[in-house]
Amino acid sequence: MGNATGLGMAPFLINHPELLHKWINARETAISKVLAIENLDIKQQNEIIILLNNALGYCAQWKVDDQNQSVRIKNLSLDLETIINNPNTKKLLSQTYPLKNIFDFFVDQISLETEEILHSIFIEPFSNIVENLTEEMAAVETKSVPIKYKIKKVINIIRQNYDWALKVDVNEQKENHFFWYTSQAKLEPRLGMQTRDHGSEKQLPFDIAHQVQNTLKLLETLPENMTVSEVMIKYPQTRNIIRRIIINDTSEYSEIQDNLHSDKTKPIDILRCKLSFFGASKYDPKSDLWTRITLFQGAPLPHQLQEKNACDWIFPYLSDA
Amino acid sequence: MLEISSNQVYSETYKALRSLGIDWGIAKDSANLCKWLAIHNQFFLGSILKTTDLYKCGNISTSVNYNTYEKPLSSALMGMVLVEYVASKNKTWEGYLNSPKFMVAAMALISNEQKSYLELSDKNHNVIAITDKEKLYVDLNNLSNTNIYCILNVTQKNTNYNIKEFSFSDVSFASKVNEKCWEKLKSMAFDTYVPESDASKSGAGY
Repeated sequence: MGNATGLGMAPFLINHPELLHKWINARETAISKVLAIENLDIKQQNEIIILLNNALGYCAQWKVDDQNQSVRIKNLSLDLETIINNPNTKKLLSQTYPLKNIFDFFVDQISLETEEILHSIFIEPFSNIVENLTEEMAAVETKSVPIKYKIKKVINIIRQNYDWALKVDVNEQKENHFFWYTSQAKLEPRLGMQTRDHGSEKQLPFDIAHQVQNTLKLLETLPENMTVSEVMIKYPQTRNIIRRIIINDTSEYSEIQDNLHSDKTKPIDILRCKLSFFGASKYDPKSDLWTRITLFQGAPLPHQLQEKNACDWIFPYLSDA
Repeated sequence: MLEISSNQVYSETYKALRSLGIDWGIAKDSANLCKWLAIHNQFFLGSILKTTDLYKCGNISTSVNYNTYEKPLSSALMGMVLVEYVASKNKTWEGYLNSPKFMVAAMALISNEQKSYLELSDKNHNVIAITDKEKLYVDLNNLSNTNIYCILNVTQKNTNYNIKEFSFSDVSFASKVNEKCWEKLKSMAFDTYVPESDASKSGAGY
């Protein structure tokens, strides 16, 4: 099943920081749990080898027009061949902490695409360890701002967790290249260019780095024992960003750690992240702003659900293609 | 009458308030209060439109310190921040409030999330609403919609409430609203949209 996805998904991740944290946290926890597996039996070792080979077959049939992505897929295939053909792979699988050691052995030689494929391969056979994490992927989104926070604490959160935002030179034109807005015609998010498009006065509040820096400057002029509630009463323009900062205190994956107004912004990366949580595969970018994907390729049809290997449909490929 | 979802209430309200230049955080707060009222089958649309009219004319205040009968504090806009402020400092706030049902909604939301005990009373100290963590005691149907002098404070837990407990069981995620009023809110929200340029459409799967 194919799908085309545009910019609408990007603001979703920015507007739901608690949910984003839950998704990413589940993923990171799943990866850390499988990397912590001490030993694999022979069946499990063979399963990893089979998945590596299936991934290679799958990549051979992953064709896209985008040149950059084509190169990434080619490198992914080469990396998988390297891993499969390396005699250390089987050796490491039979030793303690096999998955962690395989990952550590190859990590400096492989691309980001390959790292992510390896994560999928490592997680796949261990549903008994990771499946319960799906129950932790929903978020209760709070409406109020917790009243216990004081300025001193918020400043500490900014300094510790928003280092990425503080490093952005917000005065540079390249860091103020884009702005996000909602289009009149389709009520969809769009990316405008400051130097080219009108409407920046109606931009959506996605300049998180800018807001964090402005807020820090303000907070540093106020008594550190003042509550944030007092700050927001006096300076209501800080409410949106202070709420985000406080959310991040207990939800460390709540922010996309980059300046979304920068000339380097590629919304396609945000889209791909969100789509991956929906099980999207065969990522096929058509521009920096939209992509085609595949969903449920290889998934069992209703009459196939009772078959023995009905759930083994990751990395499907046509064996006679 | 038109049927709309609670999510539509939220999204159109905060955009409509943004069209007046109200800060994002405040606009979202108001939208959450409208959504709360809508979910609990309370009228909100006429009141929020009235709030926008008063805001445009400068006839409501967003200052907790400076408010009068003629220019009361808007509980739709400032309800959330004020309740949090009172709860955080264990203070008492007194002043003129416009449309106090939004204040009650704010008390309910915040008490539920932060397990607070809050009390709203009138100038004669007659209790209008009390929250006891997740519980709310108020008669919303008899709540005045005009400007009234109110006192908001943190209270002690007290089991002897003379007001009826508000029932949270009767909720609805679809509301019936006056179509004309809804179109007015939507037209304000429309002011926050931008006509997209041809160049920005390019490569966007348009």
